[in-house]
Amino acid sequence: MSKSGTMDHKCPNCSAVLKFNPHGQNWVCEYCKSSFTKKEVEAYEKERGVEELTKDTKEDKLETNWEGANVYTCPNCGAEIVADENTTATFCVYCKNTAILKNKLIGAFNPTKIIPFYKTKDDAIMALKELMKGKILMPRLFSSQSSIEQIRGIYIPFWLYDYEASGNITLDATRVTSWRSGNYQITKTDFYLLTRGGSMTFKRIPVDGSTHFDNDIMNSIEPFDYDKLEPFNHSYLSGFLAEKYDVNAEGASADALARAHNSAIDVLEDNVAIYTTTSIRKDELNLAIKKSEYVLLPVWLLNVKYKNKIYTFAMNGETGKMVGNIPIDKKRAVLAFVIPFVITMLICTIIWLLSGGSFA
Amino acid sequence: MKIRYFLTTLILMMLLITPIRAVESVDETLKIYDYGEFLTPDEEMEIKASIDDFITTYDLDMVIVTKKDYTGDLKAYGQDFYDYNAFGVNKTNDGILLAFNEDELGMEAYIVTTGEGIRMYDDARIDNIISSMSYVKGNGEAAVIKEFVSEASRYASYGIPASNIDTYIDENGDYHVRKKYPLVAFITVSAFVAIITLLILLNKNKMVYKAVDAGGYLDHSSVKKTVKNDQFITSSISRVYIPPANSGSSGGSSISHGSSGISHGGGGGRL
Repeated sequence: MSKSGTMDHKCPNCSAVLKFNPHGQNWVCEYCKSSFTKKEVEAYEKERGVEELTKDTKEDKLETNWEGANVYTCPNCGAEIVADENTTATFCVYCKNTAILKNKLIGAFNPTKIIPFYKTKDDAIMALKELMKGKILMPRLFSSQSSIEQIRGIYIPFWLYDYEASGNITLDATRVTSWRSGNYQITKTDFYLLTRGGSMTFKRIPVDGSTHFDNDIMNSIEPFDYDKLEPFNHSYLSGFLAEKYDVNAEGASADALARAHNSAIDVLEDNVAIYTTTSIRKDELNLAIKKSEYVLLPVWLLNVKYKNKIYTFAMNGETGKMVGNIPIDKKRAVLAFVIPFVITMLICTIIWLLSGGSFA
Repeated sequence: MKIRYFLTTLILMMLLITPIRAVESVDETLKIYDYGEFLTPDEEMEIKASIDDFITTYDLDMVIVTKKDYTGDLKAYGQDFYDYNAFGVNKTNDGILLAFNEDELGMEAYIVTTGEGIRMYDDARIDNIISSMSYVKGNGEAAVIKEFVSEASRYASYGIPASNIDTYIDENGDYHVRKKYPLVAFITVSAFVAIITLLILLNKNKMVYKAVDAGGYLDHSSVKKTVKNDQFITSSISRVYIPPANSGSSGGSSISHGSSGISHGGGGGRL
């Protein structure tokens, strides 16, 4: 443990830096090649006094605070580490040592749980290359400009919400039947007023608690397997970046509320398929937060700058699901329209000629 | 015994495949064959002059054959009369024939067209000529035949009717409708295919979407549906008139084949 606002995890054998190994779910020393289980690391850190760190609710005074950035001292080489307000784990740019910023992991910012990384950087690079395969409209230069090696593993702060929905909805519905009678088409429309009511619970709807990350991207890498949630232990941060939330539980709940509300309506509407049309007349559903949890979830992130625009790719660090919008090459898009157009015209013309058509 | 059986079979087969010639063999230059004896020599000369003029002017042959109390199929008779004699001009035997009969039921006429004659006289023109002939039937058989020559000449002077502009006669004398290149339809289909292809490719590049529901986080065991009420309010009925499908002809010429297999247009009936 450092007295300068940072901490790291030392190898019990050689005191070199330990890093978390996603595939083995253990900690490895890159210097002496030793590996340690969670139990062994916890025992060693208890011995070192690291455990007490995150239980402390009183923030240490930071060494420096300039232009909104916090400055820490690397416990390994003594260099200064500059981090923004929300960073909780970072690297020393000189010795590449993991620095866990202890001041950011105390009190309300101490996550209750964490899903450790299950996918490595190599997995993420492979997934990204696979994602870019077969993308005909992708600009040729885009993949070469993608500095895939810059992909970073980050623990993103998420809020998990449990919602209980209860109440009624009233719907206007129609059932339309149509038949032919002589030279007339008869259409009969029956109008109904439907009422549906009930209750249900949604568990652990995730909303990212950081304004640094695009919510849609974080939504797109869902779902996470919550069975793999572990009680938070800072040892999992070794070798990765981490952020703390800058949107509190109340502020981030709107997205989860809207999603739960939409799904609650879907559940209550699931037996109105016999009607031709339905529209909600009155919505008397009440949604209440039953629980919110602050957790860290693993994400591999890569930002690619192409033509002055940043394209973000993200991979779920637990399931390996990779997402990201790939830019469109306008010339290729035009060709993607023209080529099938011309081919279809040719096929139609050949079929027409074979069926007796003639230009003569 | 076997040889006799073989010869008998051969003769029967030849009889079956050889068209039966049920019409008179004639001098093709006469053009008027008044077997019904409805025309006086002067009338015949007058009509022949008109026919000669028609043939020269329009490059189509014209033949008139009359019968008295004919009981067979006048249409088939007219077609065979044209086909089994050397009527018609050009390689495709272009021309028009009037088969006329009179019996106790009255006058009957059938117009047979061949080659370019099929194109020149579409169904509408044939119907009009027959109507005109019917209109003058009170003036006697000669008047009816003269009316045919007159009307056929008049329509020929108009050239090919619009309904047969996109038709042609092939080297065998068969009538075909030339298919128009459906440019607009092909452009529409091609644009549709191209747009779908482009949308699929664009969609492959977009993988980030806003989550709008939380169905994956629903605790299914917690769902309790307590209210389900469907209340009927009212009904409304609307009626839309559907006009009957158009049963009219699409234009052009109706085609039939004589016993010789040659294509003919035409039409006719009782006047």
